Amino acid sequence: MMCSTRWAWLGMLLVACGDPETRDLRQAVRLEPREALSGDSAAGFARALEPRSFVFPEDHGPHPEFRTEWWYVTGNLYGSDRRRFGYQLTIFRNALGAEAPKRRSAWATRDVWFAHFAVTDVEGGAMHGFERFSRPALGLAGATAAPFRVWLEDWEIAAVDTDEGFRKLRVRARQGDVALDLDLRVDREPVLQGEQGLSRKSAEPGNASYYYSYPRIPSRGTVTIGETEVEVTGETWLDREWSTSALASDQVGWDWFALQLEDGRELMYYQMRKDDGTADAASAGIVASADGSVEHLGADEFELDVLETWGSPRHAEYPSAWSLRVPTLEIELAVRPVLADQEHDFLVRYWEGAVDVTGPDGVRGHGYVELTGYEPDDAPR
Amino acid sequence: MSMLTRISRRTYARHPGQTILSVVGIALGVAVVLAIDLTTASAERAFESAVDSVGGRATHEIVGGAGEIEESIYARLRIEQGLRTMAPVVRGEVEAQVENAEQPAGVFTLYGIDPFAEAPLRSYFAFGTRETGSEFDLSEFLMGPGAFAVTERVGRRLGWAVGDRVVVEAQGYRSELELVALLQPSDPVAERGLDRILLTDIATAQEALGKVGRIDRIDVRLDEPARVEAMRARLPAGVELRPLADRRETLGELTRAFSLNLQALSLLTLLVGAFLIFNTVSFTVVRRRRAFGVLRALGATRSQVFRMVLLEAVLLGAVGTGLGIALGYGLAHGLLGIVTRTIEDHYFTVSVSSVPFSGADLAFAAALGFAVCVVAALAPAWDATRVPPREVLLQTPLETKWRRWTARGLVLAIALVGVGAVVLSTSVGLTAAYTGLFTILFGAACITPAVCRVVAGAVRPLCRVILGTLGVHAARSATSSLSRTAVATAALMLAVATTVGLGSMISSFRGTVDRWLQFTLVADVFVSPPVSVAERFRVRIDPEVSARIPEVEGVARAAAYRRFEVAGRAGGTDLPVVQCVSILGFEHVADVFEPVQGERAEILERALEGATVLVSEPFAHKHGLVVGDRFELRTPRGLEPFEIGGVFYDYASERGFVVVPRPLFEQHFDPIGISAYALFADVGVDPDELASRVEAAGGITQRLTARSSRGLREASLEVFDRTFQVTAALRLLCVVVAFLGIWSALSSLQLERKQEVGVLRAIGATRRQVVTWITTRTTILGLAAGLFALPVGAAVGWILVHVINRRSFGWSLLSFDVPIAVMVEALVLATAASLLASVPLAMRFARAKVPEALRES
Repeated sequence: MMCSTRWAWLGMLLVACGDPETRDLRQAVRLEPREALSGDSAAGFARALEPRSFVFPEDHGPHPEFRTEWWYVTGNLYGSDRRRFGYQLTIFRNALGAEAPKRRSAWATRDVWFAHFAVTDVEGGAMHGFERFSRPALGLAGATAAPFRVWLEDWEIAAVDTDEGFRKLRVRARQGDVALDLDLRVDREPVLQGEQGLSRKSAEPGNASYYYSYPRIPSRGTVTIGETEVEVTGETWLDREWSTSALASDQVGWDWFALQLEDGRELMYYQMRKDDGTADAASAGIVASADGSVEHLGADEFELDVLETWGSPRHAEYPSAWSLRVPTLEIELAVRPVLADQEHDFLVRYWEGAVDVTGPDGVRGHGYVELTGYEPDDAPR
Repeated sequence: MSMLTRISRRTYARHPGQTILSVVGIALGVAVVLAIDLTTASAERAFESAVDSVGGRATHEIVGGAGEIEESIYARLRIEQGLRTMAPVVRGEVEAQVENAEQPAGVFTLYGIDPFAEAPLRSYFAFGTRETGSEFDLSEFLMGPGAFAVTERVGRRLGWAVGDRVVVEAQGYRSELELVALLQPSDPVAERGLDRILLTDIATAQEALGKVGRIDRIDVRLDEPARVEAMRARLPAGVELRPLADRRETLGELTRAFSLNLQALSLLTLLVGAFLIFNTVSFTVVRRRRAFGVLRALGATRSQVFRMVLLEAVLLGAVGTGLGIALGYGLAHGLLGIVTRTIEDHYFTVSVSSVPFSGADLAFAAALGFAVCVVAALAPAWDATRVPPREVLLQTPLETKWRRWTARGLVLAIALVGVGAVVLSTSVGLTAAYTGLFTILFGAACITPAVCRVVAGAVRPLCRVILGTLGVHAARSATSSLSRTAVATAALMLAVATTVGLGSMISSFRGTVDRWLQFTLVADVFVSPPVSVAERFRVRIDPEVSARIPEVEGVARAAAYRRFEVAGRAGGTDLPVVQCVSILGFEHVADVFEPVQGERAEILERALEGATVLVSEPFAHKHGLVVGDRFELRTPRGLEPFEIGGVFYDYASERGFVVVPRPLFEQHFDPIGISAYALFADVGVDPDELASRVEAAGGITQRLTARSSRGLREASLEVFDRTFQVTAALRLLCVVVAFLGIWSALSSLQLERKQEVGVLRAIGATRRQVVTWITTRTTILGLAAGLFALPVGAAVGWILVHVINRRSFGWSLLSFDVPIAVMVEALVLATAASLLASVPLAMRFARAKVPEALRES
């Protein structure tokens, strides 16, 4: 989820999805990552320049000195009848300026909050996605470290009780007749990504984020679609990331894989795509084992091949089957979406969805993939 | 071209003056009707489109008990109840002025919205470009204190560019704003609706309008009816969900009586125009009796003759209506300023920059013009078919027939007046009232010939004394030609009566308001933040400033007014907005409340105890309430009943308002700030000096406007006079049409009496005597019309004041008078005008050679 600049842009746009009128605007604004990061816009904010020591529970809370941050949960869920779901709830904070305004009205703000909520219903053959914007005023949106809570209106990820802290979380979201209510049991320590949590996104110093993950969290609860409420169990992947700037000017998008294998291993890989079609050297990933050990791997240790592509009805051409290999660890995986159309038709369009994983050695797994920057510049909105 | 058509054409071509007059008459009538229709409709449409644009796709709104909502209620609804298709609105009127500009840019509504909540409701916030071509910058809009946006159209109109700084003043609070974006709504209707709107972030609006912590309303979109009830059930006490249509209707309702009255008055002008058409067509028929006789003898059927005359009228009508429509558009532009100003003085702020082309209004005016012409021509056309072929050879004494007809007509006319009076006294509605008035007027018009005869008979001795035999002959001649002059005289009478009626109505109103102001303005100085009428019940004086005002040196006593708006219910009807006032120090200003009936001391005592509320007369009238009735107001605890202890005179507010005595206010409502003060000066303190000292108390926090009672009285009367400007303009138009009526009548006379003049000259009358004879004759007709117009006009005035005004606005006037000046004016208008108009014609007659004149006919 190296998407900080893109999300930063998103915040600039202020108009929510679904409104036909906003299409003009979407078209008018070219969401080029390179435009987002001028030196000026980072002025006044802290930068992720070197590794830091993480302190919990404080670091679960907000980092207003950085321009942007997010709380990201994705997961694969199974109903008692093996009915299959994918879900995503992401809550973003994006600062419009470094200085907090000194004003009398409680509505005055320098932060825009926005969130994406999606449920993929494999049997139903549909993904239900929603987008919201708000501001940290009157309790409409915000985040606190202790007790842990991050929310946008009635969408939230929060500690169930103060004693258990981050160990026991509840994820709740509802829009229209789609709802999610999950209990998350966090039973492992976080995995620090990159260099002790400093995740570099390009060669330029400061184009980096602080980034940690909980790659596998047993989850249990209910998914509601329409009249039907289904009891589900499954696994969640939780990401936390904050930064001020991340992308280099020649990067056009990224492919991000977060895979949970049945043998107890987890694999995360992000590949930054450059405008010449090649992978940026700053691409990286990890392989975590059931015993808690974590291998940090560089771009040259991954081999990613696109096997198939899928044409979105909204004019983008996304990869839709991959072969992902880590020769040094003898990993060879075939990755395939559980549903082709898991594209978010949000203010910024991207693809994020549940995937199945299979290996030649019989290893199986599931996960989530995020694909951005595939929309052609002239795509009609 | 058939023979009939040729005859028609020749007849009208030979009397161009007559033809032009009737065309102009109908044109003026149509023009006035169309102009009034267009102006009131454009004001209403502009208002509605503004309501719709700012409402967007909202179907409902949530409003608070005393007009505002505590902002946390919004967050609670959104978070705890998950209600998402809603958006908060903070709004208020501001006066804007570009920094360093000499002229203020005008009054705008400042709209504070939360862009993040807008998507389900308003699309116009989806703007993309800025003047520079770069994208709209959300951070500027949200973070720049004072950032605002207007539509590109407004920017063009006012010459504003991004980066301009604008000083706005709202309820006395001044703030500096900066234009950060020019919006381009894709919907042109929405764009027009935003013509007077400054759009800001909700935080900016709260700060600029002095409303930190509060919002004015929450716009809600509820597409399914089932959700409406569900939502209503979940609302906390003190706020209310109501359909947005109510807002449109409430404000449409406000101007309904105003518009209807203007329309009815404009119809009066058309009625006068109709008389002119009738006159012209009758005249041509009378002139051509012989021709019709010949035609019939030659084999023309009755229906051919009927169609011929009717077709002539239709053509006259078409030309007149066409002209009238063109003229109406022009006139509408002229009236627009006056009408919108009146609406702003009394009802709401509205932006109407142009009169839009309206097919419906145009069709209405055209249909009306045609219908009036056809109806006016029916009787003469029928008359034409009655000419028997043998009349070619007979010289039927027309006047004898006419007299027989008038005898019957008189009975009918009196009956019409009676019917009108019955309609007036038994009906309740405004339309019925106008029907009654028009019936009476029509009846009176039909009586006019009889009155002329009486007047001519009465002045005969006087004529004898002054002018001798010639005078007697002139007086007799005036009535002997009534078949041709009756209708024109009736039109003249109608027009003059209308001016008398309108004049006496305006005078009665002004007299009443003046008297009322005298006992109302008991205090020496009145102070409040500067606001428009629309905002009067929403304004608050800053608490710190408010505390300073009673302490200003020279203030002996102070009464503090807390004004507010709440929803209510009366007699089973929802009242979306009830204006209320609660007064601290009521005893100081108790004299202001003069009960319409009942013992004053007793009424006030009960009110002061907090047992009952007082309501203004228009409020009681509008909602059909009387003393002892109960109605409900929405308090923070829901709808609660209040009993009316007294109804008092008030001419300031057409909507009416409720006085909630302090004990009742404190028992039922949450505390709110002070809106205005009435101050009593210490002995020897000059009120004007005190006013300026009080204004200074506002300091830099809030500008205050303080007026001495004298100043306030003058200002009130100024508003009053402005209100009646349109009526005065209509009155003037009636005078113009009346003049045309006189000309028309004289033309008829001239042509009919040419032979008579020849005889006079032949028997030795000098030219001078002929001039005297003609002018005397016409002056007698003018005088008769003028004299009769006085009682008829007085009756019109009385009906306007006591029936139509009461039904429209609910005011009972403290006085009714027909001012001497108005009566003199009417007589002078009628007689002098006919005199003046007759002179050039008389001169032309006098110059005519005797044999030529005799040869005529």
